Amino acid sequence: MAKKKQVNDSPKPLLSVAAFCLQVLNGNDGSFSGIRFVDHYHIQPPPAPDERSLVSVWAFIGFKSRTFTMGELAGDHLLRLVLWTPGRKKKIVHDFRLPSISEDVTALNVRIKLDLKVKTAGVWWTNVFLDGRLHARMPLRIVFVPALEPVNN
Amino acid sequence: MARANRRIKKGGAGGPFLDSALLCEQVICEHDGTYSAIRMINRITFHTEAPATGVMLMTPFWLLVSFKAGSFNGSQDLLIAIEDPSGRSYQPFHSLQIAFSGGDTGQVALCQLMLRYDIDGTYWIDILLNRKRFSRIPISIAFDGQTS
Repeated sequence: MAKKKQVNDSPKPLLSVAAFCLQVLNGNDGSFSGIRFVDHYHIQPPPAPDERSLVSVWAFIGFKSRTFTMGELAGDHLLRLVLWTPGRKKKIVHDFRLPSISEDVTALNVRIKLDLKVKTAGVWWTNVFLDGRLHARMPLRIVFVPALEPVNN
Repeated sequence: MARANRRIKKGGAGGPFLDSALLCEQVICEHDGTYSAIRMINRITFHTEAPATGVMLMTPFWLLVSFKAGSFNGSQDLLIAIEDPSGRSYQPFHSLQIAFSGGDTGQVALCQLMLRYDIDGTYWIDILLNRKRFSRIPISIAFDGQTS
């Protein structure tokens, strides 16, 4: 007997932002500001081959209700971030169970601090899933810049 | 060809992907190409009398739309259209062709929001790429008739 597929009648939220920032500010009135949206990150290479460099950015992810009606976003949501290394290996999976959303909320903004320890330069992709549905892929190109040597006069 | 390019593989393939579709009070563009979106909003109250229906209303907000290419190479039509609160009228606001070069490259569109005033209420800004809706941005506009 075929399994009956579960149907969720509430419209799916729409993505409003999925980007990396150096800082995300939350104002007193609830308005967010994204400071320096980045898709490149320059960092010194790890000092030794078996060590890693630390990349620290904020993932700024926002959704809006599709019809702006009360209750559309209400309930529990699961946000999942899946990182892919430049070598196309699935690196880290973060699951964030978001606090239960009340009836009057029509937008959902999340800021997540990501501290990545990397030893490979290149483009790292982060796949953004909300409730199991892929909404975006966020690229971050990590560039290793050699440290400048002091000049002796 | 475009269909083949959209095929989703592991990692960063597929695309284009929405990066941001925001209304904010200010956008600061830096010399190195990064930008900051200051105070994202979704409602405004003007302390003046409401204008006549059909008047073009210049809002103090900036519309920021950006996409990442993913594995897509080629051009797509970006259409930004505004639906009024009654849902009757659908105004094309901005239309342009944008080119993608694949990978982590992308495109950013930035403009000040101007719309044809109809009535107080929520206007919807639709972001469509090749007729596919990627996002909708609500902006609730009200005039309270009180001159400041």
